[in-house]
Amino acid sequence: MVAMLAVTLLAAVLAACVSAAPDASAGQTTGVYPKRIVVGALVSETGPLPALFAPIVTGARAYLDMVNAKGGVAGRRIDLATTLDDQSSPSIDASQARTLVDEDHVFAVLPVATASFTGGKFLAANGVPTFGLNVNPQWMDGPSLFGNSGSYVNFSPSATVVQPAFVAQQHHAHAVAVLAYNIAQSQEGCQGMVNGLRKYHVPVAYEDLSIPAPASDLHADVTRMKQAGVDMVVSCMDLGGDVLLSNTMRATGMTHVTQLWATGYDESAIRQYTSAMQGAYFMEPNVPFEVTKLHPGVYPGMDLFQKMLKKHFPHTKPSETALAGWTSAALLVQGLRKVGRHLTRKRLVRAINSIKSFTAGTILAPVDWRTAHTSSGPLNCSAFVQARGKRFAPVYGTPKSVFSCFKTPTPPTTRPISLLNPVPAGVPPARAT
Amino acid sequence: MSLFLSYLLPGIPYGCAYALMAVGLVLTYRASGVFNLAFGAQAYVSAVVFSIALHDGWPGWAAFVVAVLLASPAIGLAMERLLFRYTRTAGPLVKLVPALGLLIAIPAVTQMVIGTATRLPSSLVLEPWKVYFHLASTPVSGEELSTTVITVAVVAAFALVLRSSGLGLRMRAVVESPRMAELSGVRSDRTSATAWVLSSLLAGLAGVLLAPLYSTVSASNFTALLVAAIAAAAIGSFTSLPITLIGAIGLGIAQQLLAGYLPSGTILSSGLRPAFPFVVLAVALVAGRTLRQPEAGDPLASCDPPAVAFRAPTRLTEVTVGSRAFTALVVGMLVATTLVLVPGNWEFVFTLGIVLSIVFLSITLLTGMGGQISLGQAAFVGAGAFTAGQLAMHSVPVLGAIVLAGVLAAALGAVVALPALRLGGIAVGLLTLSFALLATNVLFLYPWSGNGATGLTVPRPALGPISFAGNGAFFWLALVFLVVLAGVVKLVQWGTTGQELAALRGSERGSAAVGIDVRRLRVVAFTLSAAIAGIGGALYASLQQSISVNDFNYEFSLIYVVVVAAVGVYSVAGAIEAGILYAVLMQLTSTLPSRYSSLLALVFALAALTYVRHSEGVVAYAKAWVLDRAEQLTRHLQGPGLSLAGEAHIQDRTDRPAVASGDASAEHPGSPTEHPGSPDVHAVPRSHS
Repeated sequence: MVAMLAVTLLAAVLAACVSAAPDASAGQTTGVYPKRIVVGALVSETGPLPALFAPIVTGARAYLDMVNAKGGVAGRRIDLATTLDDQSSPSIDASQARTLVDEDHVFAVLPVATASFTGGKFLAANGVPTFGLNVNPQWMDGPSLFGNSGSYVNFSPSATVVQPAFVAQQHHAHAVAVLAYNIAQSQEGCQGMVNGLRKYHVPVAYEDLSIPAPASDLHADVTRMKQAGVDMVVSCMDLGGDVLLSNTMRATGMTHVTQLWATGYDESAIRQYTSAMQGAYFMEPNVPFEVTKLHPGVYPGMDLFQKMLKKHFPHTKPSETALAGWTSAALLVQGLRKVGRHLTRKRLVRAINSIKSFTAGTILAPVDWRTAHTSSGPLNCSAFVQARGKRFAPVYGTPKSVFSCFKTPTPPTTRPISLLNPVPAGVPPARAT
Repeated sequence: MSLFLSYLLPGIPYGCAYALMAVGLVLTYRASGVFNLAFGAQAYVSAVVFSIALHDGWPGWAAFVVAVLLASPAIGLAMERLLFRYTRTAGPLVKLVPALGLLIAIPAVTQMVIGTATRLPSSLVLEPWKVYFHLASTPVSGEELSTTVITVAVVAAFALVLRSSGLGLRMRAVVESPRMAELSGVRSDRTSATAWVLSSLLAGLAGVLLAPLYSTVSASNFTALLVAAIAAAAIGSFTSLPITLIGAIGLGIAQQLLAGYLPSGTILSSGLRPAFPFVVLAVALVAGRTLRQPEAGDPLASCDPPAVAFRAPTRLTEVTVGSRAFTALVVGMLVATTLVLVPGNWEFVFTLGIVLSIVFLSITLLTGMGGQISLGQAAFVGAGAFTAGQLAMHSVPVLGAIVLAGVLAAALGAVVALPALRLGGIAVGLLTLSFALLATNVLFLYPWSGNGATGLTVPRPALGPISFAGNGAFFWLALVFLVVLAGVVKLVQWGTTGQELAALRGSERGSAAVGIDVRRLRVVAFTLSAAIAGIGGALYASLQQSISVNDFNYEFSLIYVVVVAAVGVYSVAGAIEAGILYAVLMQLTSTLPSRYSSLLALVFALAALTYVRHSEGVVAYAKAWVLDRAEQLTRHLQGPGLSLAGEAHIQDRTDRPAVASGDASAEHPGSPTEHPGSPDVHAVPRSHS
């Protein structure tokens, strides 16, 4: 053929062959060396919703830096050597997953935060331990995939989510609107909320689960919501969409509407979008960041996260995605410690799948990894926060915990949904505040 | 009434946004004949500069001066001086490819410079979301107010300048005939540059003014605005600014009314709305007159001497043999390394390259051989992919599904070709782009087609006991498809249809004059091209195993054209080289930091900019250069007394672009006619073995 093509091909083949060459010092397990373990990240750093995913690397790196500073695990440092961007494309996601395993020879994939996770199938089929933000159904594809708060997500059309109904009842909402993008995880997540609202007899006055992402114009939706007398809105969009929604409501005179956002619990976000975020509620699978100041020492895991984040990344504010990176790394390390020096992928997966109660050091509601791949577990706990001024404030909860826990499954009822009180055993914190 | 107004009023600022961009498009199109698809990218740069300047504490007026009055006009002037001044008499493809390259390159460069961090828009004058007053009990926000007032004022000022000032008169004269204007003492060169500066000023203003409509400053928002602006410009027949303004506002309002009155939560309401401008565009193009006569140009064009025929290159037998041996070596190396040496993901990469080569063959046939511009190939690829997926779900064997996917895509291609019969040049491109938009936003979202963002799963095929589930086996299967389809394209090229397509590429009118049924030929070209794209799409789906609408976004149509045009659009070898190069470079750049994720597109976009001088593509040009040097060296080594009998005429007649009329020289501005002092510039697609 031609010179240019030949040069490129030669370069490609050379690159491929070099990457294919086995490391002389390598042990039998891919990515495990006498003094280090190589892991790689897979993140949607570019695309329509980059801010939603990119911070996960920071959180994971903060945790690994802390562990490595203390000598690593069983004499090995954990080296987050590669971060690949899937550009929010399903095909690139699958391709990058293959690159991490076949070319970069990582032992595990950590952290993952992607718009679609088509690479999950390949990683599961090859038994590669994988840790990250669970917003895709592919996390249920195999026992080696570990989502940040369990791998099970009920994406069935009949799934119900109780939390929005609880907030609606707290505000005596008479007409709720539910908005989501025409992206699978956004749509299906919000469908569960619609089901939950209906199950607990909260009127859903307006529903649009097919907004093109990223949102660029919500005037028609907001006008219809206004016509329907909506007094509460539940959004499964990203921060940009939520801010646009809030601003458009303001511009059309819709004030005093209770808002529950799926994303946006982020200190830097509230500084940027202070007016748009005012009063909005957020529900989290983890204890709120504010507990460090409000209840110092009660949630040591959260205290440690914020301390390390400040130490290693002083310009990064805590965010839910960064925390997902931290808890994912914590799970990997806990598993590595259980396995010890004789590390293989199978042993690590087996070790993690025997953990009965994982809380990442009082950050999460307990995850039972014996069942967390296939069911939601015995506890259904969330922490609620509300945007007030330039800060967030924890709301609801019980006297014993910032978590609000519900029965699993919560039976249909016409009466107000009640929290489990006292909180079930295992829900952080162990001590009363 | 109140509800109607509450839907209608928010449409006005969006309509104004379209109008600002449409007026800019009309200005450059009328002044230089270039359809500046990079207009949205220019707007994006201004919005980014404005946002950064304000964020860094600059006063608002200073940020405005730098972003709108300096940065954007400077970019526009550079585009005109460095690129488009050379395309004034060129054909539509030569004008389009660099514009597409810039559409991709400008945001890519911006991303590399500023990074991928989310940037918040800053408002120019009024607080965007504050309600300033009520109109018939409908609140009017600062954004709506400022956008509307400024747009109407600016468009009125521009219309006044064009109609009443000396500059406007000169611009209109240059539009009619640059040569005639020059005979009257008008410096058409300078006037055209002024039009570019003014148009870019509008782009900058649009960027700064419209950014607050969105929550973040993103290039894709402005690209989406651009496509609606094209529809508005088409309503104004690419001539009338007032009608363009009215059409744009009407379009914005119609979109809002559709969004308001179509049932919410349905694909029609969410998909038709963004695709609506393209429905309007398609209607305006087919019903309108302006773009229907693409070859109508300067009345003095006939004063040009006829184009010089391209030289028919001859090669020494030694060079020919050496070249073919080298080709065989590279192909052999590629196959051998793919199957033996490289790790699994590279096996996948080379297979992807082969599949993309098949997709790119469809562009070679349609654009390279027939001169027809298609900006909607990704829609045919997607149609093929989803057909294969749906058939496989209904228990049709995957190999059969791949073939049937080609049949369905061919039928779609024929349907799209029918309205295109009334159009020519850039209008065909815009029409196909509208089809791609419709496919992405509506057709591919239904469960019976692409199943939206969730997508489909497509298994790997099997033929009796032979399974192609593994990457190595699939590589062979893809290779067989490539060889067969490349053979088909070659056969078409060598046959009567190929000769007629070459004539069509040279001049549509000339082709009709010699008795070629141009309409039939166009339908044949579109159908064949779509069939190849469909088969490529089905193979892509089976290779990836999981596909969604995001894999066939309309932007890929633009990238496909840029990649093939940059590498070599005239030959089968060019398509294969483009496919392999694209896949390999995609893999090589995949490990770069995210701010450089656009590097791949940038490389091809920059290469596409050279299309103005080297329409044969950079790789084809480099090949010719290398072979020329090899030949010189061989002759030198052989010494004097070399007989022509030892030369082999390897240039196939059918590989040459048609040079039957002056149109061909326009398509190949690098021909000796225009660059007599540049002997290397022969836009001749050499034979590619």
